[in-house]
Amino acid sequence: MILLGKCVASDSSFMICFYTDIQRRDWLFEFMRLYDFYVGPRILKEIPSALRSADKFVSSVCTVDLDYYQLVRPFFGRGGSHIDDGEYESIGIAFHLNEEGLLRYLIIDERRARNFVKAHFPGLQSKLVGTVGFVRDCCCRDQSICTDDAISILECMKSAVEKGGLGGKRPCGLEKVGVASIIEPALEQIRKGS
Amino acid sequence: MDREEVRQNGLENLILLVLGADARKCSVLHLEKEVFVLWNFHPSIDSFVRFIRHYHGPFSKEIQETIHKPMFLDDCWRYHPPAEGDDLSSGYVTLTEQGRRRYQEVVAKIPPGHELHSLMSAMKMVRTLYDKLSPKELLLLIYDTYPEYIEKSSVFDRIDRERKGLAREMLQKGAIDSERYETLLKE
Repeated sequence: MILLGKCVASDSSFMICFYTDIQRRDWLFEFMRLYDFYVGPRILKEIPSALRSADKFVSSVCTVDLDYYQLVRPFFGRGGSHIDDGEYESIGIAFHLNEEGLLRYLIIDERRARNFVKAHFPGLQSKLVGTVGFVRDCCCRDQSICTDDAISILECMKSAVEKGGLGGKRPCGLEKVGVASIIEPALEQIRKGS
Repeated sequence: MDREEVRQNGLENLILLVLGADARKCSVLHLEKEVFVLWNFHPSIDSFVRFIRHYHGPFSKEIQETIHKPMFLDDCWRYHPPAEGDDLSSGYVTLTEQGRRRYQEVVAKIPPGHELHSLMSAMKMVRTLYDKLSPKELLLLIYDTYPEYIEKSSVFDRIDRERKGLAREMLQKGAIDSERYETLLKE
């Protein structure tokens, strides 16, 4: 299938999920080959430095050198707790790509940022997915990856989430309850579609 | 054009683009704060405008003067004075027919892939976000986010006294979330 507008604005949790949580860099780079990923300086700061400096990553990703967080800052205040949050940067990048008619997906896992998109940017809602939803849509909607690969990826994520992260970290941005409420329904949809 | 004229011409086109980014009328207060947010975002704006601390938060004398007396873009926008009793909005601005045509011409001249396209999207984004706030709500968010730009005054005291009610209104209409609501109450 030819994808018109195959640009993706993604937060760092998507990349951390593949690089660190399930350690399947091959899948991450395959997605980056299939779609044009856009990131800004805050997102780059949040991802592991080894990934950030990897030649394959540098040559695959489109870097936007603008501080999109400044556009939304009054909605989050001057406090430092959100200053490094790449999610808000990815929303700004997505808004721009959408204006240009190029946006395919905006990948955000964090609840507050997702709610911010829903409250303020209805034009982005149909493109908003989480990491799991992105894998599902790549398979069911775009047919850019095959059913077996999509199932393997989600099974791998499921196993990482069930195992749990160290130091209270949530693998793939999901709590354990996310297995039943997010991963299983996506797996079911993929299996039904096959 | 000398340096000052280049700066003035740039500022007038910047105002034209912000006004043209959304069909709604825009208060001068909103226009100024939206340009401030854009000024923090995009380095190209820095040379056109300056902001100082003021009783309305970040203030630009150049924007206020240019709205009333543009040097280059004649008849592109119309100023509507504030209604009686409105001491916050500083009046409203709308694009004229000529302004709309000029806006389309300027947009059409921007080459594909030029960095101005990201600035144009950012203008639409800030108009979408901030135009839905009342002048009081906008001032509360601006005061709270940029205290270094506040000149304390009776306006600041009034907004500060109404902080709780304004925060609740913004929460109820979905402009801010409960986490931002809580931080606004703490100040």
